[in-house]
Amino acid sequence: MARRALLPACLLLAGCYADDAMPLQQRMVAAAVALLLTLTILELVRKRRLREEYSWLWLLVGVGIAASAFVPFRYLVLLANSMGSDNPPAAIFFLGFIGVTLLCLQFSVRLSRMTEQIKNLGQKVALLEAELERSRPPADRPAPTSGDDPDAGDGPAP
Amino acid sequence: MPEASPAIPPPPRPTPTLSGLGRGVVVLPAFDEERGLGEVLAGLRQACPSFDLVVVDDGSRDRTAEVARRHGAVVLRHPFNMGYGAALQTAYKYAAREGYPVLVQLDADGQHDPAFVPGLARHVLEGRADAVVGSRFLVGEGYIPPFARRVGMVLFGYIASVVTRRRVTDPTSGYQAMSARVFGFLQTDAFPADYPDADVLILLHRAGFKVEELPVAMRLSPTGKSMHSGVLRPMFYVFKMLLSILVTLLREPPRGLAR
Repeated sequence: MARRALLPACLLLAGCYADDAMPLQQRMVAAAVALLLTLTILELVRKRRLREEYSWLWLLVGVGIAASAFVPFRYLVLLANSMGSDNPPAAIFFLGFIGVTLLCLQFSVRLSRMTEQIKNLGQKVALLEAELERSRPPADRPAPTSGDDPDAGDGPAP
Repeated sequence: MPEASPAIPPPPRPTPTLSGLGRGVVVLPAFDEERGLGEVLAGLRQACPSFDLVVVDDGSRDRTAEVARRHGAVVLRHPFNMGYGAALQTAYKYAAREGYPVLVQLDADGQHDPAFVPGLARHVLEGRADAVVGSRFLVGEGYIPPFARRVGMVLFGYIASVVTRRRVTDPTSGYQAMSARVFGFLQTDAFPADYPDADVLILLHRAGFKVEELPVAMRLSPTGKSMHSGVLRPMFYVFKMLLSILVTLLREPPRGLAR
């Protein structure tokens, strides 16, 4: 049943793109790239090499590429025309470039926040370490002698 | 190695006074400063014996922390290098936590003469200003900085003067004293930790603090290294500082005094 429907479906699909100016090979390459990207992302998330927090962004990129592979050419022309361009490939590249730029900006924002957090952490470590040192028995022997007085918490404050 | 300092110190070097300054803290951000640090700390000990000394070791690869401890300073050691601004802010956080009434900051490389610490601190303690900046240019010509630095100083001095409506001759000086309210304010996220400079003066002014300049003498950095050497870095510095000042002005005025 399913196999019998395959041929008409393919024909129908082909009909959709019959008068299409975009070569089939080009569409297949785009589709393959989108598929590969999506699979790579899923694999990275599965192995916990990529946090799910970020994965949706990249999956969106994959969907975008896939969409560009299947949209009939006349819509691409329409899209390009709406941007004042009569060159659909250039329009797509432009949109892709904008998308990647936004992605980078988003990363910079996150990076800034993380830098701030790391700075605050580092400062806290420095302050806590100084406090710890002060509460240790008098200096001159920074090497902690193994547990002869573990509770000596009130060394003289300098 | 401190050779005979080339500076002709125009402001007379203050003689150490015996009158008690009371409690206070002197902080030195230090990154690989083992060579000059000991002498600076010894000088500080003499200039202001009642003040505690704090060295913020910004992830040094040499024995900076060891030298500091041997001279009786408290060491706040960053786990990795985070830069001059972050080091300063660590000191502010420490001072706020310990409840000091006044904080004096100077460079660890010996270019700032410790003898001026009591004067700066006293100015703050007597309430004549919330923050005091030691200026190298108020009197005479004791110190001639490298060209790129000079350009920045003139440019940012002009901008800071216009914005704060007060003559600023040395906007990049790291020799400062401030009250507890000021470092309590600067320990927050309002502080531009990646490059504190002229923008801090503007920030403080906008937060309602009174900032003044007092003359100090300066020596060329005895260790001979500067934060602003090369060709590209000074240009980048000027660009970044302009941006930082612009952003500071675009932000809502901080509520530094509302407490």
